[in-house]
Amino acid sequence: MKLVEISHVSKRFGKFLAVDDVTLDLSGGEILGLLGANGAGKTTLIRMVCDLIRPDGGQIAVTGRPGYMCQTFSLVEELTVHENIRFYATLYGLGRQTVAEREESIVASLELGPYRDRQVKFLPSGWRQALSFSIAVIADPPVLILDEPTSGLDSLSRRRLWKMIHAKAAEGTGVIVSTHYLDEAFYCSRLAIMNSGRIVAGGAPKDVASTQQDLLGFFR
Amino acid sequence: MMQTTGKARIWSVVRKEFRHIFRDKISRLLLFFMPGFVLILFGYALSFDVHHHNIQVYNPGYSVEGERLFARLEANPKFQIVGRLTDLSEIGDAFARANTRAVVVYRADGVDVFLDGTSDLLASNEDMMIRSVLADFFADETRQILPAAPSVRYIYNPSMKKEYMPVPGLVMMIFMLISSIVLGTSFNKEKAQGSYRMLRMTRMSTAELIAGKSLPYFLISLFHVMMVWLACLYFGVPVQGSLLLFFGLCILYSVCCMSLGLLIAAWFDRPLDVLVLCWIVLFIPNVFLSGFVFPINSMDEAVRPVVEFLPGTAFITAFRNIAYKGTGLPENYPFLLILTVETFLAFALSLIGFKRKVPR
Repeated sequence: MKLVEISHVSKRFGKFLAVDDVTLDLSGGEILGLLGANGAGKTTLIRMVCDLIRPDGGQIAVTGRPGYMCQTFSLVEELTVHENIRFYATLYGLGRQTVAEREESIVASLELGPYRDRQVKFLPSGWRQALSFSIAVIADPPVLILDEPTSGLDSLSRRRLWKMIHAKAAEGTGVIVSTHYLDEAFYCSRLAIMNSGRIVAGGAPKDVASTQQDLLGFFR
Repeated sequence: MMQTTGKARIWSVVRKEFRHIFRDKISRLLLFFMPGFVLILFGYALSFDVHHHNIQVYNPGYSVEGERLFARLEANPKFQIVGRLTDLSEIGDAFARANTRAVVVYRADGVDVFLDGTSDLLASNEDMMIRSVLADFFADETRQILPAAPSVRYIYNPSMKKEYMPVPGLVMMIFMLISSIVLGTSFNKEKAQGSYRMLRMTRMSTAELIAGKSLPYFLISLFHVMMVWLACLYFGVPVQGSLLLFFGLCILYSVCCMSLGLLIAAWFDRPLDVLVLCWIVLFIPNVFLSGFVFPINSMDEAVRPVVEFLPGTAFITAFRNIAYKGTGLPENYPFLLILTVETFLAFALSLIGFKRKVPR
């Protein structure tokens, strides 16, 4: 079953064509990597899938309400770890009992126990992104959309975040993740390489790498 | 390798700065719109020189001298007779309902002048001008009948306390600053941080998000309203009218300011944009055009239609009416209506803005 179906979608900002006739789909358990240089149209496409902006043309069908994590740290900086989890969990519509259980699970898995009552702005960036990720999946969304989640993270934090992404995909969640790190392409189960708003290559990472001799070419 | 000179580096920064200025909306607004706006405002629209002092007259004995005095007053371009009283008991209504600044009563044995004391600056000015006309009149025309010096009474503020005039304007400014700027920048801080997009991805509707973000500021504004009331008591300007109506006015104005702050936050992304625009679009016009600093009657006819619909004007006028004159809803509903309509309009437009525009 397809969780996301994107059909001939386009978006223009004034004279700039940000997304040009893109068609994609996503199944459960799949990690679809959107690769491309800055300005390739990844973020615009992701925001259309999230229904944050409307496409000028084409159609997007998404199963359920997607979980979302953006490239900038987007939790409420003045709230503590505990308060952020409670706050977002309530907005996602979780009941009190479920919220408490999820909070315990997040704090345990991220080993955030000693920092539970610390304002998130004082956490190291790797932990903050891991917390953002945990909050994005707190309501068990069928689809998870991650917009450059590893931007600015050290390699250890990146690896930890990718482990979390894989764990979620293994549970059947469909993941769309955008990145401009080439090495992260191989963490995905399928790639869609974007350039100037269009999908210029796609498929399994190994296939894309073998048929497109120089992936770097798309990033120029 | 050739090195750049200091001159070249300076020119490079100059070019960069000009490009920044011409490409940044707020810089363009501040550097090109603001000076013109302020020059027009102060040079053309604003003046301390009041053009028309609306007065009413009363001549209980229907004396010829009294009518000649009123004709002399009317001949003065500074005065405009907007009504005639038929009984002395109508004085209260004349001040409360009509936009009357003074009532001149001609008696056989003298002249009584009643002045609106809610603005001590205007009242002193009017006192001086009316005395001057009376002096000229009695000197020129009625040498046989020389009544005693006019008795002058200040309605609403008999002891001419200085605190009466600034209080409504200060309250207007405080609410404008707190309610619009703080709420607006709070929204745009979330936009800048990215948490706004996260919130939009939850089950929350835009209206719920606005309500949730605004409610704390609204509750804090209730505290501010109480502070205003206590300040009125402290400054010795107690509320003469209905306290309920007074609180209602303050709350409505505060909500109106919040809606205007939201409106700006909805269509502009950066917290700095909200700050600058709140100052330019809300604060400066409302401070200078609302009758707080410059009397509305002194303003050019061309800006009057704008002035009448400013939230600050509606608030200050209704504040003076309720707190000082003790008038009720029938006299003040137009001002409350202006504030209500502007609140709903600003809220509706901000709702559209928040729905349509997600920060890039």
